[in-house]
Amino acid sequence: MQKNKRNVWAARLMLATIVFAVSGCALFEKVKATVSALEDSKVADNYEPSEQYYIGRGVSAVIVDKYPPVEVKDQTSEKQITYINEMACFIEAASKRVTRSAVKLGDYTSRSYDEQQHVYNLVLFKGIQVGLLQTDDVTAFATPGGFLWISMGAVNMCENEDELAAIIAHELAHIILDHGMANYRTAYKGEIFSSTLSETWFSGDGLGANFGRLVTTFAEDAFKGYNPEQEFEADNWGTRAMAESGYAPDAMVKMLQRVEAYEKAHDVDPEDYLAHHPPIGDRIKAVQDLIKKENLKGNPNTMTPEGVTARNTRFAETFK
Amino acid sequence: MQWWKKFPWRRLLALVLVIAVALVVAVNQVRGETMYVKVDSSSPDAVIQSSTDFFDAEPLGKLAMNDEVELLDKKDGEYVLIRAKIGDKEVEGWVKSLVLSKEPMRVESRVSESAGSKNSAQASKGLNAAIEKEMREGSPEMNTALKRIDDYEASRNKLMGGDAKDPDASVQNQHVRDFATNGKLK
Repeated sequence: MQKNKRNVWAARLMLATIVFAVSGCALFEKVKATVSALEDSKVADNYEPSEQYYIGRGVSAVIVDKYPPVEVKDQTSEKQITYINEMACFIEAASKRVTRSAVKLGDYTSRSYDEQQHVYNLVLFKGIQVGLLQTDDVTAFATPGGFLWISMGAVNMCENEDELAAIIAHELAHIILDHGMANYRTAYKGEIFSSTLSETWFSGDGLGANFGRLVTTFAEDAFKGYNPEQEFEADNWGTRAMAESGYAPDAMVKMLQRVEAYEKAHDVDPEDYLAHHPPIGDRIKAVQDLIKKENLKGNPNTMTPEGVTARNTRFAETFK
Repeated sequence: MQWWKKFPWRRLLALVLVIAVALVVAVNQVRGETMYVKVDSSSPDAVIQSSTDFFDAEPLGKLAMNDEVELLDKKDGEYVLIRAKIGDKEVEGWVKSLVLSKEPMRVESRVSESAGSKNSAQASKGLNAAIEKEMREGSPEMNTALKRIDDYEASRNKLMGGDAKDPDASVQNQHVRDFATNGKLK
C-alpha cells in the first residue's frame, strides 16, 4: 500500500517535471524569439558605418546600371572627377558648424529623438565619394554610406562653380541628414518591399538575394527622389552650407530656377522624374525666405572679384 | 616604552592610503579609456591631426577600422585628443569623437546563412564583402553593375588618394585644402 502511494507520487512528480520542462522550453523559445526580434530591430536601427557603406555600394550599382558613370580615360575625365570630389569634400569639411537640428532647419521634418540622434552621430566609413553620370538628364542621387552621383546634364546646366556647389550641397545634405537610412528605418520598418527590378534581378532566398532585393528597391525609390519634407530640409541645409563654405547662398536659388526651366522645356513626366519632389516654385520661395530671414549674404572675403574669377575660370576649364 | 608602541601607525596608514589613491587617479589620467576606430583608413576622418582646424592641421598618422586608441582627457568642439600607436611610435593628436567607439566594430556577419529571412534587417545585418559576393553570385546584372562601382572607386581612390586600393586620406585632405586655397575660399 505504502509502496503504491510512493509510486503514484513519483509518477506525479515525473509528470510535473515533464510538463514544467515542456512549458519551460516553450517559454524559453518564446523569450528567445522575442530577444531575437528585438535584436533584429536594434540592428536595423543601428547599422555600423561599414554596413551603410555596403548598402550605398549596392544602391549605387543600380544607379550606374541605369546611367553609366563617366570613366577615367583621359585628362579631361581625370580633371572632372578630381574637381567634383575635391569640391564635395571641401563643402563637407567647411560646413561642420552648420546645424543638423530638424527644428532649426525649418522644422520641415518631424524627426523623432532617436532619428535626430542618428543624424548627430552619423559617420561615413570612407567619407564622401562623388561620381559623374553620362546622361543629359538633369539628375543627381545621394545614397547611404556617402555616395553621391551627379549627371553631366546637371553639371552642364550650371553656369558657374557656385551653382554646381549648390547641387553638391543639396545632395550632401541628404547624406549628412541621414535621409536615406531614415526612410529605410521609418518607412520600411525592416521589411522588404519587392520592386520590378528586384524581382527581375533576384530569385530564391538567402542573405545575398534578400540584400539584393533591399538595395534594388532602395534604388528604385531613389529614382523618384526623397520626400518633400526631406527636399525642403536639404535645400535649407545646403544653402547654409554654401554660406559657411564661402559660396554665394543665392546660387541655390539660381540652380533651382534652372531646374524649373529644364522641367518646363522638357515637359517631364512627374510620375517618372523625381516624382516625390515638391513643386520647384515652392522650393525656390523657401530658399529665398531663408536667405532673407537668416541674412545669408555670403562671405565678403571669398566673394571678392578675384575669388569669383578664380572659381569660374577653373569651372570653365574643367567642364566647358 | 618600546618605540613601535609610540610610532604613529594610524597616521602612516592614512598617508599610504592617500598616496595610493593619488597614484590610482594619476595612472588613470595618464592611461585614458581605450576606444576603437569606426571608419576605414581611407576616410578623411581617419587622419590624426596636429590641431582641430582641418584647414591648418598637419597629418600625424593614419588610423584604420578597429584600431585601438587611448582617449586623453582633452576635448575641443567635435574633436578629442588621443594617443595611438602608428607603426612603432606613439602619436598624440586630434580626431573627431564620432569616429571612436567603446566597442570594436563587428566585421563578421551577424546572422547565420540559415536565416534566409524576408526581413531586411536580417538581409543586411552584418553586411560585409562576403554577403555582397553572395549577392553578386546570385545576379549577373548586379555583378556587372558592381564591377562598375569597383572601377569607379579604384579610379577615384587613385586620383584623390594616390592608390587605387589603399588611398592615403592625408593626400586627399591636401587636395581639399588646395581646392579651397586655389578657389580663394579660405
